[in-house]
Amino acid sequence: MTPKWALRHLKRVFLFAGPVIILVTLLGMLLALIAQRGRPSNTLLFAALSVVYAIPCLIAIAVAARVAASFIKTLYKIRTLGEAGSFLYRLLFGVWRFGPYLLVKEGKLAAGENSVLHRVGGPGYLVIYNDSAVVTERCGRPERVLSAHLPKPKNYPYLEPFEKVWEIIDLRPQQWTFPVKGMTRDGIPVTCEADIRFKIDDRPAGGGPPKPPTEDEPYPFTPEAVFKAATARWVRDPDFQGPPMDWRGRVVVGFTEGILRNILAEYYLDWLLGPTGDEIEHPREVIRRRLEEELQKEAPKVGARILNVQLGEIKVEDEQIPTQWIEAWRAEWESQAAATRVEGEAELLRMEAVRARAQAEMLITLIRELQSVAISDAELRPYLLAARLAETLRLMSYDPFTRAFLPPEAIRTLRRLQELLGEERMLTG
Amino acid sequence: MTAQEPPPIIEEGLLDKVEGLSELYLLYVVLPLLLFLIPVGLLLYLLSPAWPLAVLAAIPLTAIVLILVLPQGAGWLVTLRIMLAGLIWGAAVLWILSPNLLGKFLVIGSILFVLTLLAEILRALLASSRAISLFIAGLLAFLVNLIVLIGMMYRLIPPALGVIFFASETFFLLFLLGSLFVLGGYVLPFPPPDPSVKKDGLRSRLQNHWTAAKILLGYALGMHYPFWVVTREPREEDKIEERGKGDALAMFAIGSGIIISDCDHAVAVSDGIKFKGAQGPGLSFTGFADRPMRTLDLRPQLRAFTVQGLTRDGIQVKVLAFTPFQIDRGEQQPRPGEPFPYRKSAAFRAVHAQMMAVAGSPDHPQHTWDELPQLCGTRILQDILARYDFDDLYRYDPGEEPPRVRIAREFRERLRAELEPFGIQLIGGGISNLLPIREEVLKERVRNWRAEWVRRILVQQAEGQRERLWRIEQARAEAQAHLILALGEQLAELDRPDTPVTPQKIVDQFLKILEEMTQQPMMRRYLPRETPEELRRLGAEAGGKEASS
Repeated sequence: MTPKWALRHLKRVFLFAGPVIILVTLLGMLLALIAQRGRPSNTLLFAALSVVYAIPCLIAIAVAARVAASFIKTLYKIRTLGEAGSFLYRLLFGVWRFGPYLLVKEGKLAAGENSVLHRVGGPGYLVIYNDSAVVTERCGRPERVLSAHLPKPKNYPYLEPFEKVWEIIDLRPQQWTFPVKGMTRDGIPVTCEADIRFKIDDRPAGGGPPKPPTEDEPYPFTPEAVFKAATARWVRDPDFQGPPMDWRGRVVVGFTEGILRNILAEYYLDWLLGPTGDEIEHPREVIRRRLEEELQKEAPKVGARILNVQLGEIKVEDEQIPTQWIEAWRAEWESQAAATRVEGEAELLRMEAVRARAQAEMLITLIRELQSVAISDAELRPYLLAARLAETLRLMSYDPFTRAFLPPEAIRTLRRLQELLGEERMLTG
Repeated sequence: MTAQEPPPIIEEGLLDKVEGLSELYLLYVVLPLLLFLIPVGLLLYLLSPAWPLAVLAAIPLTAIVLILVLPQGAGWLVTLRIMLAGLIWGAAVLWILSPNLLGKFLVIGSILFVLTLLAEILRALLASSRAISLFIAGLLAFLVNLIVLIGMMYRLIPPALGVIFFASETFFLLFLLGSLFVLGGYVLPFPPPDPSVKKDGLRSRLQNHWTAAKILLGYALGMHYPFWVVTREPREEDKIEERGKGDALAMFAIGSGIIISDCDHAVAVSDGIKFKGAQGPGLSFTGFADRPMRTLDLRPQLRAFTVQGLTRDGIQVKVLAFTPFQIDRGEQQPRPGEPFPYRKSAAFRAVHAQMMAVAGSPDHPQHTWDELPQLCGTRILQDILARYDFDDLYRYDPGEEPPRVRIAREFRERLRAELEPFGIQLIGGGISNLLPIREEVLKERVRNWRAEWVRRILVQQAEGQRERLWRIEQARAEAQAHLILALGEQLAELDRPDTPVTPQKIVDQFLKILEEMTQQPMMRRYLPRETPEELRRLGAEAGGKEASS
């Protein structure tokens, strides 16, 4: 305790107790005067009598203080009368040294739990590390936000009478991997792990860039965000065993679960699990981006800022589905392999082989057709051969499939061939 | 206090620590003496001219008798036995040595009276019956004052000493009450006065001191209403803790009862006849017969519950519903330095919306206000589900809202409307996955999904086959076109005005082309061996010659 501090405390004590002492002394002197009336003056006796006659008043004060301490002990369930008396003293005169205090770090109370300061409130001090912030309550009201730099830079906040810790907010970045159970659009249960990283919002209320971390303030925040986070708690059923629905739970369980479930419901299972082309973005990435966008909008409602969103693998809950999916996947690949094989074969055909084969087939057809007229009359044989040739080619071109691939020049050639044969017939006829 | 330290010890009566009552009765050895002295004294002084004094003296003696004959039950201390013996012997000596009968009687009477009252005070203190002990102490003080006054009147006590006695007594009382008044303002968490209104601030501060001083006095005298503190226990039955053994129905209680809650809790108070409204958060006071009915957590509450329902097509489904709600506070949000917002009328409605289950029904005995969303929500959700076929719970067209979202919205809207009259404000809500209760249904969906896959794979395979055929035919057509085009080129060369094309030339050229084709190495792989020979023979026949073998 520094002399300055001691002086300040004594000043407070005497401001309060001084008038009482003076009054008691005066009354004692008055009674001593009455007792000594009509007797020879004796200063020593007068002083002694003054003190003696002041004793009832002092006893009255002591009795009142004891009653008050006993009342405090009973009402606030303080363990001993001494502790209650000490608390009463602090209520009247404030603290005379640095203490009692509560230590807050890593987002929780590290020392002082169950102390009078924690259960009933100040006067006292808070030692808050720079990784935490505290919201206090006083006399039935949420009071203020305190931290290592609030209300003053680099301070140990002083708790006013009956001001106590209401909520502690962890300012460090938070990470929560949460499995979200959803249903696909085709009604198949799936699970997707969402890996959310977030922290208390450090952007000014009107918008703007986040505060940069500094040595003094490695975890920047805004008091508004801290207060919002403290009041964001949803109280669950007393029997509930799951994660608490404080600001962190609201971000992850409240927002993430709901949003991700809604997004998953838009996808068929095949879209979620199936392969995608190189150019098409994978649905998981689309889902991740959408989730992050939605969370960025929702998180400030509980005083949080999203740092990063990642999605784990999407799992199907039914054991049969992975098996079936592997089967389907195999079938799919077999199908693709067949298609690839076909494509390769076609490529070969296009190059040489099939052409040669087709030409060979055609050649054989033509030879057989021409052979059928080769036994005819020698005079007419050339004409008949040419006519059969033209006829055969024409019939071939009538095949709609072939015709689709025949270039116009080929069609024109056939037409010209028929014209030539027609002219020849007229000449010979 | 750390977690390892023992829990606070609850104050118990010292009576429990006394082994037996035998010592108590030692006190009452004075009783036979008094029973002898009182009638003798009364008789003696009623017959004398100083009878009014005798009456006054008889009053304390009568009081002693009354106190002693009242039902007792307490412990005792050994030391008192010694004191008792000493005082009786002293009284006897004073009786003998007293110059007159009046003096004798006053001395002995006073000593016995003081002795008995001291014993009673001690007994009452041992029994933690502060009210009785203080009452007796007050009576004792009154009688001592009376004796002093009589002593002054009869010049047995010097007047100055009497004045000092009364003055000291008065100062003692004034200081006691004054100190209680001053201290009272510090021992309770009164809300800080509004700094903007200075005069009202001082007034309310004095009012606070006065209120607390009365409570302290009542506490000191053991005549007070109960004090209740709302703790942070999760269960309602543990939340309200009574501290200080007050009596809510005390006829002579001084001051008020107290309810203290944190900033997030209010307390519904009733005297059993009239609902006194929701008090708090923070410090609030109670009067005659007032008791806290229950606490009201002003923070948003979240209740999640599973609802089982039947779809229109008769399939049982289950869904987890969650309902965040709070005591209605409109659009107000908590702000630093201001009480947690809520509407007192809403609190009243919420508390009175609590329902009792009929005896014998399978429900809980009581549905508290925070269970109402579950109670109402279950029925609403079952009603909504009954309008959907099972498949419709998942199926929707592009551009449409997913059914789950649609169901959740309707659920919220209907529940909000239903809870509003109860003073409960729904602030969100939704549903989880809609799942069939029987696993077969889900497996059927998987089978369906599988069948769809098989169909698609078959279609894909068919498409692959089609592609193959298409490519083969394309190649074939290309080959034909190549042949025809080659022939066309030859014809174009032959087809000149000066040299007309004859069928012979056409056939020759064509056969020449075919022959060239047969020479291609790739073609040979697909042509029968006899084809070149057949071609040569055909060429010979076309030219009018016999083909050579």
